[in-house]
Order: sequence, then structure tokens, then C-alpha cells
Amino acid sequence: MQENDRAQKKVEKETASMPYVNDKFVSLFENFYKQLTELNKITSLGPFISLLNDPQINLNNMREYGNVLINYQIFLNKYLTQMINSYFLALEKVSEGMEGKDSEEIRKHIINSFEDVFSSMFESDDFSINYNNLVNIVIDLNKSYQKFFESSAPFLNKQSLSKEEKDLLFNNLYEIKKISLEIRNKINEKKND
Amino acid sequence: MTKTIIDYYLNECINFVNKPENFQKMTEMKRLLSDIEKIETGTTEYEVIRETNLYRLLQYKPTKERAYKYPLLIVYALINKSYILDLQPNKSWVKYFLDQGISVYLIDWKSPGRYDKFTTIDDYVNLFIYECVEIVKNIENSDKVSLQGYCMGGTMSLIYTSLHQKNVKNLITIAPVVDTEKDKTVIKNMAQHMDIDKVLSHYENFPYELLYSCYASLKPFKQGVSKYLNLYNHLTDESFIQNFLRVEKWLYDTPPIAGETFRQWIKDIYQKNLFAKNKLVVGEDRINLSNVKVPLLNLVADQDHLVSPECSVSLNNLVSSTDTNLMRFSTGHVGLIASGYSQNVVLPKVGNWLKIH
Repeated sequence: MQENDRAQKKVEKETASMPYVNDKFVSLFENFYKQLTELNKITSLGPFISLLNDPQINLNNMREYGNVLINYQIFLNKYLTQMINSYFLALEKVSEGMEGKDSEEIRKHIINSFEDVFSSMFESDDFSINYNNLVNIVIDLNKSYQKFFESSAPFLNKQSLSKEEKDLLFNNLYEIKKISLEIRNKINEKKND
Repeated sequence: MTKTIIDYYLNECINFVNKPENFQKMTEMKRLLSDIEKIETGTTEYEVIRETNLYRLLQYKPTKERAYKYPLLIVYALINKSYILDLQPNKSWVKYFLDQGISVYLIDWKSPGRYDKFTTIDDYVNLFIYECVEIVKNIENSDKVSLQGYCMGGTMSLIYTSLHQKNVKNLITIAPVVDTEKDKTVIKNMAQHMDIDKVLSHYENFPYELLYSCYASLKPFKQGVSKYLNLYNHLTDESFIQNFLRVEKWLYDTPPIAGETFRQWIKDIYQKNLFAKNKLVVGEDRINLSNVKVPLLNLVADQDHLVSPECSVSLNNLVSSTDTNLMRFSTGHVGLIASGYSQNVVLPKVGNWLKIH
């Protein structure tokens, strides 16, 4: 929850400085996130605890999944906001330099303007942080969904190994292959000597 | 403001619709791009002399009588596929050296499977490159090879040379990733904030989809829009089309990267710059670039948007070789190895350097 709050505060601060996104729209979303986070807190109180532990209802996993979805929405919103702002900035740049140009020149001007604006965005620290946050939260979302799915329908997963089991198997396989190649290289070295 | 842009778009649309031949051109362009898998690349004859699940060692068929004593072993990068070095007969890095009477071998990396996720840079260098060098030395009855590495392959060739110098006659690096603190590219920017541990906690290997999204942000409109307009305007030029489609196929043909390899690549090389600081640990060895004492030729593209020129240029000051050369060219990362410019300007200089070393 604290993480959610921190992420929300950061969003509020950053979106406020963005020039093209409508203030009312941003505040509507902020309120929506706040409401969702508050709702999620309820499940940690009194009578809900017994329900949380009921494997049939599986509320704990649902709650976790819900929190990840909220964070996903936050990071996706930040990412899209950057994209939209850059798009409008590029449009503004295009319209500033359209005067007195023929069709071919305008086409080049449009491409160059969009290239400049979007390249600056991609080269910025802000974008890199937002993009990587989005990638991370998508991974969390997948993991959370997987967990939710596994606990809801355990009979469907009986045949497959867990990630840890697979990793152990892959690691053993890797070690065997590595050792056999090392032996092969040593034998060849001896032959050459 | 908006009206002017809308006017322009409407005008362009009306012009387009009024010419029925434009629809034919669009259909033709769609057909060409959807048949891209069928386009042939890598036309120079070769034999596969060693194949494992992670690489193939190719020996190219000589086209001229031998004129250079040492065999040339090319180490390709782990990103995209090695056929860019042999795209078509008139744009072939490999064929140029064959035509100079040089014996050419190439390490062609294959896609790692899920079970290869633990493969490390140490394995790539000290097992795979090591084995290929030994095979080439045996076939050619030579005590050394001339080593050449492109991009990530350049970095791996440097690591190999610093550890096994006695096997290397000379080293040619092409746009190598070295001093990442000086790298100003989007790739560096993305790598800087990447939580690679998190990504690899979910994926076995670094997925190619994430690499594509990174490529898409490199030159978004020049690559994503301009080049297709260019194709549209050259639909009657067969040679242009063939060249375009081969490069296009290559651009979207990249395997995933083995998880542990990419973890070290991002953390140690991009985020901590340990390679340039001589603090990179590979296997049990700390890599010290000052151990490299063989003649070095470093090729750098001044318009490289994948590896900043400054990131590669630093190399010449980090090695101890008394014979170092830096050649800078006014082209890009791919233009350096697969273009008319490469054939006419870059390769003759590299060929001349090789002959006197």
C-alpha cells in the first residue's frame, strides 16, 4: 500500500508539469486510483480475515492481483501521457514550420519534426524509467495472474513443474553440457600437444 | 494550427485516391513485405564444420588462391543474424575477404532455448569461441588466427584476446561496445534503468519482443515511415527492392539472448561500465584490456545510433598494443558492414590493413 501511495504521489507531481494533458482528466484518474486503493485496504480488516483464508474464495490472491492492476494502470497512464504529450508537441512543431513549403517539403518536415520530438523523449531518463516500470509491472501482472490461476484451479497444473523445478532441471542440463564441452576442449588440447 | 495540417493530409489523400495506379503500388508493396521470409540471403558457399545447439562454425569456400597466411575468424554479435555479413553478392563482407585470397570462417550464433538460460559470457568466450579458434587452427595448420568481431561480437573478441592472446595474430573490432559511460544512445538509456533481474525472473532468456520495442525507438519515424515511403517510390527498381527486403528481413530476425549472458551484459557492461574499467569478471578471470598487445584495428561508424562512436573509440587507449589503428567512417552501424559504402570505402582499407599485419 505504501508503494502505491508513493507511486501515486509521483504521478501527481509529474503529470502536473505536463503541458497537454487535461487537468480535469488527470484529477479524475487520481481520484479513481485513490478510491480503488482505499477499497483494497478494507480486506485487511476484522471479519474479512476469515474469508481471506478460505481457499474457495481466494481473496488474498484477488486482492494482490487488484493491487498490481492498479499499479499497472498508473504506469500505463504515465507512459501514455508521455506519448500523447510528445505527439502534441510534434504537431505544434509541424504547424510552426509549414508555411511556404510544397507537399514534398512538408512531408519531410513532418517526419523530421516527429523524429526530433520522439527521439528526445526516448533519450530522456524519464521515459526510460517509465518504460522499464511498465515492463516490470507487466511482469508482476503476469506472475500475479499465474498465481491466482494456479490457486483457483490447482487440478489444471498438476502435470507441470514449478519454475524453481524447471530452473533446477535446466541448470543441471547446462552443467552437463558445459562439462562435456570442457572435457572435449581438454582432449583436443592434449591431442595438439 | 490544426487546420493547416488537416488541409495537408486531405490534399495528400485526394491526390492519392485520384491516381488508381497508387492502389496497385500499395498492393505490390504489401505483397513484397508479406513474402519477406522467402527472400534469399547469404549466397556465398560454405560448409558447416561444427554445429551445437548454440552455434555453427562456417567455413567459406575459397574464391581465390591463398594470399594471406592466417585464417580470418569472424565473431558475430548475439543480436540479429550473421547473414548481414553476406547479404548479397555485391554487398558481402565475407565475399570481399575471400576475393582477397583470405581464408574465412564465421561463428553463427543460434537461438538459445529455454534450457540455455544459464549460458554465460564466460561460456561464449572460453568454451564456444575458444573451441572454434582451436578447430580453425587445426584445419589451417596455423598457430594463430586473425580475429574479427562485430558489435557484441567485438566485445567478446576483445575478452577472448585478453585471455588467450597467444592464439590471436591480430584483432579487428567493428563498432565494439566498450566504454558505455560515453554511450549516448537510446539503447544505453533503456539499459541504464532496466531491472534485468526482474525481467529474468519471469522470462528464461531476454525475449526478442523487448529487443524489438527498443529498436523501434531508435529512429522511430525515419525507420518506421521514411524508409517505406522510399520503397514505395522505388517499386520499379528491382535491385533496390531486393536490397531493401534483405535488410528488412534481417532487421526483424533476432533471436532471444541467453538469460545469464544478458544479465551480465546489462549489469556489468552497461550499468557499471566494468569492461572499460578493467573490472569485468568472466568465469574466474578479471578482464584487463591492457593485456591486449596484438595489432588492433578498431572500426567506428560516426553515425552509429546503436553504439555511440565515443563508446568504441575509447578502446584504442585502453589496450597495450603498440600497433593500434582507429578508422572512423561517415556511416551507421549497419552501413559499416552491409552497404555500397562498406564495399567501396570500408573494406578496401580493412583488406589493406590485414595484408600488412
